[in-house]
Amino acid sequence: MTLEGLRNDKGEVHLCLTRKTQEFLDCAEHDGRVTRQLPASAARSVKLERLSPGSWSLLVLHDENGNGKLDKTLGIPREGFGFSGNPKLRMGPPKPREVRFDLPAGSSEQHVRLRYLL
Amino acid sequence: MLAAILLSAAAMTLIVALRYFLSSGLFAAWTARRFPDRMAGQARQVVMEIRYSLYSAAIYGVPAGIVAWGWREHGWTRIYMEWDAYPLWWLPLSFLLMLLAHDAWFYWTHRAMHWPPLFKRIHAVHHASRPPTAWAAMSFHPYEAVTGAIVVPLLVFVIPVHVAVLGLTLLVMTVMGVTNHMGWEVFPRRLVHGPLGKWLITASHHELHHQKYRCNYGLYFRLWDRLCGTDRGLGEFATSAASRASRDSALGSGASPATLQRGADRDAGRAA
Repeated sequence: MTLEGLRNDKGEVHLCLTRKTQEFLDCAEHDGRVTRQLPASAARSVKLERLSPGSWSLLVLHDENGNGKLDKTLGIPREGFGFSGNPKLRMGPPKPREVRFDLPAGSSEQHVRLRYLL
Repeated sequence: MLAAILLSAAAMTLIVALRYFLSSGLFAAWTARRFPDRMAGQARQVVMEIRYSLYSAAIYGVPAGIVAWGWREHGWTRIYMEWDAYPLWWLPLSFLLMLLAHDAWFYWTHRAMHWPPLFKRIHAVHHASRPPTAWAAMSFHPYEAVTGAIVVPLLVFVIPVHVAVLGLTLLVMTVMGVTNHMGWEVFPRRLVHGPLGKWLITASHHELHHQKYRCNYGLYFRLWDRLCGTDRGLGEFATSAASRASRDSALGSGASPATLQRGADRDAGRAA
């Protein structure tokens, strides 16, 4: 996975991959999820191995203050976030079909752009 | 899908109606406090203004609701959420473009509606407010409301606009719509009579439109009025007694359909 748009190297980057693509926002609670947590400075390119082929959704969080969650102000995310498929942003979260991607057998690359609203 | 669109339109109608009551109510209360006798005797006119404004709210809610639904469900429009999706100078520029586009659309549709046949059938409703009050901000014939309702929902497909800039644009639209009709100048004299006031429209400019009809058609900027030679400068606000006298003679006891029609006939003559 390659990550674009990190605004600084502070804190950590969290990845969460789930096969329950309909409820991708709850990735952190899913059985069988694949997660990674690494320093932001090392997150521009991440190698994930031995994932089964099929439908996945990928969520990325740039946890700048390292408190383990996406901080918000008045409901607006204050830290960077991104999804596979790089859906267009609007009020509310993206749709499952925009975030889902098909992982082929063999190696492949997912490109995620981080977005910052505040 | 249809249910979701209808729900979105209903929600938008509610939001527009609430926005109207909040903004017009606030400025009407301020007016009543500053000029206690100003709106005395205008109760029937205000009832009419509120009734037409609520029809307008329903009409404004439909295109806004459809577009809001399409934005949520299908990513329609060029509304964006990240400050840096476009260069930062685009933020003020997009704001200015939104206002300029709305102003141009308003000027020409407004001028067209002063063509006597259209004036009689449509725009006379808005001019039945003599003099207008803060409640007249959305008091339009339903056909006229349609011309106003489609502007922003169409512009967001053309002009990339940050969601906060869109909010600011709507705020300016709301505030100017109300203050331009409330019968006194809320902006400082230095601004209205200074160099900026030569290009910006405030209540002093729009009041003259409601007195003389065939001039000062613009919405935010005096640009088109100046280009087309329809700018007659700033007006004076009628004192409450004088305005009451002129209104009484114009409308009789109130704004019943018959008197409204008589007023419209007279205005059509004046508009011609």
